[in-house]
Amino acid sequence: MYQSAIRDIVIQHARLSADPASLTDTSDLYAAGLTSLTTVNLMLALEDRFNVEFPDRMLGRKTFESIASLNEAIQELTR
Amino acid sequence: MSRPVRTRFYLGETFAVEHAPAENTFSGVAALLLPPLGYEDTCAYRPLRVLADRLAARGHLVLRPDWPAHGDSAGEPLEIDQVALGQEAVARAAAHLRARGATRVAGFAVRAGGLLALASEGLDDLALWAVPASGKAYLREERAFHQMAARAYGEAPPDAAPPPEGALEAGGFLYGPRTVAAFSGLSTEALAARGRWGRVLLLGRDGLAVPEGLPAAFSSNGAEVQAASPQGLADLLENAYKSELRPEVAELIEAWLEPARASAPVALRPVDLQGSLALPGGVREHPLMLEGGAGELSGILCEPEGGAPAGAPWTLFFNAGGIRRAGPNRLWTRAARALARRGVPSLRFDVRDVGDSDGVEMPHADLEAMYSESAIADALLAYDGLRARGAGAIDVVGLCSGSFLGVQTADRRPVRRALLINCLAFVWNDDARVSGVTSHIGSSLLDGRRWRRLLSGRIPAGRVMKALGARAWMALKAPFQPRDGEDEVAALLRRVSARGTELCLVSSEGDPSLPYLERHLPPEGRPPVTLLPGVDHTVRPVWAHRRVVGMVLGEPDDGAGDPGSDL
Repeated sequence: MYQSAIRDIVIQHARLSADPASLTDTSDLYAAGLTSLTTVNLMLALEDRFNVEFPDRMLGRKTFESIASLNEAIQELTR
Repeated sequence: MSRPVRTRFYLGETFAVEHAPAENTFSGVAALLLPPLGYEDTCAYRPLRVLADRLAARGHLVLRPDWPAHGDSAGEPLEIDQVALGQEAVARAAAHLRARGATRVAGFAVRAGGLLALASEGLDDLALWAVPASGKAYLREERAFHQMAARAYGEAPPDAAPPPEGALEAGGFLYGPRTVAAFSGLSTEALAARGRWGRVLLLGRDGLAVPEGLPAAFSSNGAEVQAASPQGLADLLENAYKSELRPEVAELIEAWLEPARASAPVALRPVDLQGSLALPGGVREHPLMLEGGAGELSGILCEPEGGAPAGAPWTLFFNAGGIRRAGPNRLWTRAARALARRGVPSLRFDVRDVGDSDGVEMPHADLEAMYSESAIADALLAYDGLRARGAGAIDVVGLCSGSFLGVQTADRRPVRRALLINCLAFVWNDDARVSGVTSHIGSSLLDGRRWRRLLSGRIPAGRVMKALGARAWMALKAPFQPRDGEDEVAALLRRVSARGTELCLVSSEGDPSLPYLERHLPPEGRPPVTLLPGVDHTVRPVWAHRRVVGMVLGEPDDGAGDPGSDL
């Protein structure tokens, strides 16, 4: 449900090397060029946009590996 | 504009480099460049040096200190409060700049360096880039960074000790319990509201706005606040050998400093400088400068108090890729001091283009320069410099391209022992060129940022075409390669062994250095390779540091790791 907004933020803040147009909801963002540093950038941008804070248990690659996994996390945090 | 005069010295326990403007051009403005912490500091070091030269060429007096427990300053992270000592370092640096005649002292601080700057006394103006909202927020960002990176480390062995309770590990660096506690009490907005600054420049993090409320907190007490959200933080902090400061950010800093310029050139006053650093355990360090083909080459001598006796064995540490002489995760500094406590002197050295030595200002487009005859010439210059100081036997230590420099030195000069960690190329030939291209340029072919740099002329196009050409040529000729004759790498290692060098090869499990060795060295006669399980290319996480320091010391390797041990 948040995929579109998440996609915009990913494109703006994740500094991916892959073509943003090629990203599907399940594309591996790390394979597309997301790094440890830019993950933190992405985390801050998402927190700012959705007014949430990722808890420690979500601060791992599994949460940030795709738009779909981010969508799940944001849904859980905004419930 | 003329070349600035660089001076290396100590302010108490802080190592610092001053970049002074040419005579009669001092603007009266001093810029204190305050780097980020930990892994980010490793990456930002070279670009901030380039910025320092640029500002000094415009007439400003610039100082670049190493934070406590960073680079060549004193301190071990688990033993100190980096916030309290960082505040002391800023105050001393500002006092030094005023003693030199500065009429205005401005700080330019990146990330956590901004938190420390805000908490410190002595600065008139402040530019902050991507300052975290609070110390707690910063620690959380570091924790997230560590957890994202941890997957690359692999599985740690069962006896790998975690950091002590209350400490935080991130990117191969530690924050001790006292530092964590001190950071946890810092609020950026509260510190800003103390209002001691005249002019403030706030730069956001790669398109993210500065923390809400921060500009108002500064301006409520009369500070003149400017804010901007430039891109470029990741370019500065992501990778030590690709890191760069975007010109537009440097221009922002230059423009912001300009109104503070005095109406006429200001006299630069001489001051007495502390030329060496006394460390616990009877250790003393001091800078060493050598003149090489690229200009000034910089190193740190670490000796037992009283100096090294003539004929003493020395250890020579080389850069790991683009990482300055302090080594990956500051391992070389730590190992050098452990050696000196046992009476063994050492030199940790920056070859051209790296750390604090002269050379290129922008990162190389490929790895070739790190494996060039010029880099070898610099390594030999350091070796010969030690001989001139009366060194007896010389051991060399290197990781990644530092291993290349180590083995090439051993091929040309007598070396007693060569500790070579995660070497991707002992010989720079087509095979190495191709694997290097694959790991750097090749992986970047789809990277729009790199293409933008290429198209803007910031990466020399010739370099890229040469690298891509080599790659294509290798692919074409691979099926026709002769299979007879000794492999170049095997021949080199055999030759070095025959010269009497003890070869100690070390590879992280899963590192490309292992297949490289397997590709070039037949199993029979292959020197033993010590494996580091659960460790990445630059020896992270920190539990493995003790093991590597033990290898430098020549201790029997028991495979145990412990981040807290001081050896």
